Amino acid sequence: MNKKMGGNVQLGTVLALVLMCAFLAFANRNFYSPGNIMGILKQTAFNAFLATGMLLCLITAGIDLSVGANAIFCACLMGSLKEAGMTNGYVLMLAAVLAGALMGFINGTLLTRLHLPHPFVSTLGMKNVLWGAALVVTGNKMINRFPESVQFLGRQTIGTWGGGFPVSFLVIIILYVIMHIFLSRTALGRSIYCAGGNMEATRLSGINTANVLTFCYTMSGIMAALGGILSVGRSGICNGSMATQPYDTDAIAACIIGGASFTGGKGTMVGTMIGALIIAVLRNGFTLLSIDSSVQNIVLGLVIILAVFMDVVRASMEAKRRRLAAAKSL
Amino acid sequence: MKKCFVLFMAVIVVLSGALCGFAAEKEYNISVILKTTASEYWGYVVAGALAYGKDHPNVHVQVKGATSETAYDEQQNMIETDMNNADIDGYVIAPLQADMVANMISGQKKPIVAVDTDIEAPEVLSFVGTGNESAGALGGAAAVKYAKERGWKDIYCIEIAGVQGDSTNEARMRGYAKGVESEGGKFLHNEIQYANAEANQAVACMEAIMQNHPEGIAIICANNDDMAMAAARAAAGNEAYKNTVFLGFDGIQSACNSILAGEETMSVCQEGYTMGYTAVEAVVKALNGEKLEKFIDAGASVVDPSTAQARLDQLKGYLQ
Repeated sequence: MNKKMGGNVQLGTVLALVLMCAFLAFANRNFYSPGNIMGILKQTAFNAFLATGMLLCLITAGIDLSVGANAIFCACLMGSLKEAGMTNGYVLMLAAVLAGALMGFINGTLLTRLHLPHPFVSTLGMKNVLWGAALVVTGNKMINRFPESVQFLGRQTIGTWGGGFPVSFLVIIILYVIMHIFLSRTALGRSIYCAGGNMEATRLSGINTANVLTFCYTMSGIMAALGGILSVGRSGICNGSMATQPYDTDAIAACIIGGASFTGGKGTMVGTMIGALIIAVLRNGFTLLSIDSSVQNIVLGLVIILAVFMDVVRASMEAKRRRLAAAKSL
Repeated sequence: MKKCFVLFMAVIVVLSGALCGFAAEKEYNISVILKTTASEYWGYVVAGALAYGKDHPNVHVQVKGATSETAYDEQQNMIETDMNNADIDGYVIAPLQADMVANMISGQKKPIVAVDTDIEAPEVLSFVGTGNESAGALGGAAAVKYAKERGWKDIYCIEIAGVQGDSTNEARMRGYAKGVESEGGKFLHNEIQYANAEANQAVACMEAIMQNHPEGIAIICANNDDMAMAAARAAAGNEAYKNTVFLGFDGIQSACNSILAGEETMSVCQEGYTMGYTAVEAVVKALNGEKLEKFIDAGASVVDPSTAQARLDQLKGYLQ
């Protein structure tokens, strides 16, 4: 039954995406230009990285509000190491991934070992810590001129159609396929869903929920670090003040639009990808149509509210169906 | 024969006139991507850019901007989208992060003009503005002179700054320091308070400054007018701060009203309307094959109690 419901959710979001694209193609003939399509894919990649980690946390009924700040911190760490004389791009990227993983691990530890009441609190605190740390490591300066290897992920394209297919989106496709298999076919992946569905029952069934949760937050940190590396490649710079941006909101929105739930136990990689694409298409379309940024915020906010509302309706319908099935069996 | 020649020449003249007319009527789509459209100051830049389109019906101006001056990613997406838009003939860009935009416009063949903040890239044909640093310096110097008039002997200046690390904030800060020190004042670098460009936080900063300096400070400069007004209100009633010069930035309508009410003392004004109008004009000139100056000065001024009413009337006129 759940699988069927999940399929319906994805069908609905795919339909929403298709309708949106059709409307935008009708409203602006440049929407379907090769350059614009490649632009949308480039714009999706950063959010798609953050949303991957966010999805793992949401499936466990948690949340990671530090993903955006973590991405910027990792980018700034690379910047500060570069300023200190480290010119090897691979070392810079390794340092970023390790730092991101460490921050995620700390988030997970705060939740599971130090028993902070909800990840909302610990990750919100971590967001501020990372914002400050990003400014400290860069000395409040914007840093540019990164090695080519660091910029490869965010800048490189393949082919010439529309300026080339972005490598960042290709990596996203590969990552999402791997994560889909991981979540649906491995014991650990299924444990994540179990933990989100019923934490206590999962623990009693012999699964170490603390380890599962710590793994999810550490993965979220690694995804944030990859997002940070991508952002450096795309923009060519890093700046600690970017950590104030609501990147986490977009990541949450992508997951929720894609069928994840704040109550945990739900969400798929396919849905999250569609959610991230919907957000990127919306923003791109608004720009093409020269719609005021305040209207963009209103529409995006309404889309998120609508997605959450649909989740609530779905949950209540599911509960009702279960009650009816139980009554019939009596 | 002579008549035929005259007739032939007349036809040529009429045809060339008509052709010139057609050429002048060539339609242009100009994309204006600003730091944000969600503030009064940027509203004037928008008004100026749109006014050019109104004055020249063949020029279609599309204005867009991020939701705030720290929404770097949002502006990045807007620029990326419009760079791929085949309908656009030229661009006016006010970059939130000039280096980031320089990377994004690399290789663009259509004319690009920077407004408000310069972009160091070969694709940018001209910069229309004054620069935050030089405008800040103008304000810093004027504030020291005003503080002297108000009887201050030791001219110390503390800044309530915007978002730490933000390039606009840093440029204004450098400008204030330069201006204050050029007139013999002392800019207290170690006592800069960051208020994230928010009035509420500026109040908290001002309260901290009053705790640390019960004797009073000659100049409190702020990254924008909202913060300067908030700081002035927080200090109201403190005898040691009754002659303090509260210097803001932007010279918006609410600042003029505050100056006239004796709260904020002065404000640095960049000419947003002129910038918007001139920047679009520059792109059109480039599209018509004219060579642009590398720098087009849009002018900056400092509004104080003697000029606040005139400035207020001017700003109201822009938005009508």
